[in-house]
Amino acid sequence: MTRIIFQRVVFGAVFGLAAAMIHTFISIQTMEGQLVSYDWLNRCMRGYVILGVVFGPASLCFRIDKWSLLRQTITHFVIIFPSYIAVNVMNGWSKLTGEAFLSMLFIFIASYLVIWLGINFYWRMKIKQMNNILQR
Amino acid sequence: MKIEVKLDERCEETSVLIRCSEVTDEIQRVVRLLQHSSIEWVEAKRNQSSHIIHIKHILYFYAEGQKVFAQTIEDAYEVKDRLHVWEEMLQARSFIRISKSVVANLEHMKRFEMMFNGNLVVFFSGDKKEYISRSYVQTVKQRLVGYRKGGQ
Repeated sequence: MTRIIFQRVVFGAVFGLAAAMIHTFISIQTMEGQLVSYDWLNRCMRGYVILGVVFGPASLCFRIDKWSLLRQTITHFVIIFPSYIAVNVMNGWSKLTGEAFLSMLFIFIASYLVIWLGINFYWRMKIKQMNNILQR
Repeated sequence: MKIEVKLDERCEETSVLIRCSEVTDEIQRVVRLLQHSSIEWVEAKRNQSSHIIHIKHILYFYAEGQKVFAQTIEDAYEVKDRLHVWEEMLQARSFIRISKSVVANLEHMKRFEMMFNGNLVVFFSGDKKEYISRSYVQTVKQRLVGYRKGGQ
């Protein structure tokens, strides 16, 4: 398990770096003529790598067989949301006002709800197929 | 591996001969499968008395702590071997692993359900139920299709 967590951390960091590169590239394209500062680049890289390092192993909670899907999803949310908020504030991407916090919370809950409903639908279909096989 | 079946009307007892240059893991597995394919009775204990249960009456084997039990419609009986041993012995029959702690009999599966919290449950004869891990669902589905088509 330790090995898998380590692998996920490394993959997460690499993925974070790649995301930072893409973000930087898009920013350069949209900031006509302006230079990207060292500080901006540093914060961008650091933020994405931290997110990758947290997000990578966090998805492992979906592999804990004895947990229900609900518990897996809630645990994932509890890990991801605070780390996202922390990185966001630490990097100065947004200020921690009540309004900003609530809007991020709303977006996260809505996203998780959509994903939860999607997964739920997928498994319900699977169960239906299996029941059909049983009834043949 | 080449498999050959010879039909001989004069043959009185069916025999299996494996011709190989060395005993590999695959050969050992085939031998084990052949040996266990004829298991009909399981020795079990309940309330300090011994019982012999027909394999067809077992809904599933489950592990609880260090012990393994065979569940029938009426009762649960303690059995000797570890769960993975039962899984291996009975894979040629209608048994399949459905979670880390359960090896179930396809023959007794009645229906599948999804709970509100996302847990998947399989109901057996006698309305006994067990949780099925999502990681085993695909394998169970494939076995069910094969089982319903070919009877194993």
